[in-house]
Amino acid sequence: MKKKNLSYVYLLLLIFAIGILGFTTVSGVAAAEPNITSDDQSSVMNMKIMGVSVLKNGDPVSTIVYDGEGGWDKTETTTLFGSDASLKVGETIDASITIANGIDNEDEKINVYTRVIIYKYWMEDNEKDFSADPAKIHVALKNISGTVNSDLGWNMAGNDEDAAGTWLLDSQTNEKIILYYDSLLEAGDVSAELMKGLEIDGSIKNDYKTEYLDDGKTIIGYDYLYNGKSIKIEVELDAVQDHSAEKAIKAAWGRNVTVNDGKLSLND
Amino acid sequence: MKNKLLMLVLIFLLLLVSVPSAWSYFFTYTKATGTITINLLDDSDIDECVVDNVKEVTVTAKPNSDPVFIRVRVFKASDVAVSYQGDGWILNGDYYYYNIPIDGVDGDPFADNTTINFTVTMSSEAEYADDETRHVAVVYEGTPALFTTVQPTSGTYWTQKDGDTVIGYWYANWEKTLTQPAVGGEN
Repeated sequence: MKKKNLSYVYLLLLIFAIGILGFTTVSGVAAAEPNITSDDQSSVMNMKIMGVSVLKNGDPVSTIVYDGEGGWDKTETTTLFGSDASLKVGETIDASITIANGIDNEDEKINVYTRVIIYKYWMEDNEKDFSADPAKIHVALKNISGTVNSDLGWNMAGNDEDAAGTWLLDSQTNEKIILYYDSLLEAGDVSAELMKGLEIDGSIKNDYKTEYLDDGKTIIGYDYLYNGKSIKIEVELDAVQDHSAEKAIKAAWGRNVTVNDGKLSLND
Repeated sequence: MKNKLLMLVLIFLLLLVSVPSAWSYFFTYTKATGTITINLLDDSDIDECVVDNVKEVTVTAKPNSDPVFIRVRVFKASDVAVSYQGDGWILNGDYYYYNIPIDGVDGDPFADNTTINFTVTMSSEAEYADDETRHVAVVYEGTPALFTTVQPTSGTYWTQKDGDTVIGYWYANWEKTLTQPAVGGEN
């Protein structure tokens, strides 16, 4: 009798587990197919795809598009600054950076929320140079909500009055800054400008080794520590579906956010 | 035995449902990168043109040179009278200092400031007591323009601005000058 009761318990547990499993699977599929609605059954057969781009001066630099078959097509059209870019003290490199949702095929794209992580650091001999100071790379940002720290090399280049959205400052170090875009990027949308350009801190000329003539007084030249090094800039674009955005962002990026009337805000 | 099998199936199913559903959300990422090489160089050159008793000295920053401050000094016999001419030069002690750095790059912040001129006019030979030739030598020195955001309290410096906003200050450390083919011709 006791053994029989135990079997009933196992059976009930089994039904319960199968029920939970079935429910979870259904909700998972719904999340993966965010644009499927009962009024648009064709979407079930032709799932809308995700595709986003990083733009420089309005032109795509790097694009990724879901191929509809479980893979992603990534296209890196060019680099941010060209193959032989150089910079001197006192010069500014203009690079207007925006992002876009599927500008090449707007009918097929799902709406997305986005964040951008900008990395800046030094390279020497094609390897990361940890001895050089990333704060000496000054990146000019635009349309930011939050206080950027110029001591870390992040500067404000102002906000556009008619900006399509605002970049919410999440965190910053001298090497990277994380920005969340507060507005939904619908298919075909281009974001507000987030970066305008960059320059190097003139103080890099204060870091030099000297060579002396025999008299010990006259310097025959300066061997600058930063001469010949390279600046590396990376603009990483992350995008997530707009459906169940708060949960999706938490799952994908581990960040608690609130989406209210389409506007994203960062939770404390 | 049957119950043990059932127990294993149950544990498997419960583990399965406890797997986070993060992967079920639709997200992606892409990255754009770029590299910029830094070139630092301090170099300038001097040209002289002597016509009669007038010496035109032209100091030019070499192409791609970083900003350098320039100063000149004139050596002459005590009975030779000279006069100097040139915009932007400030006499301080034995040297004339040019008050803005020059560099070898067209554009901000030292736009159109790759070449500077300094003119020395000496008295004519007829004014000397003997027939000896008098020599006038113009020596110039350069030093890299250094940058600071704290306004220097002395010495040669130039304020870089963006509109009305002060970006920083370029200053010279004349204790450390660059070796140049510094001595100009004689006259």
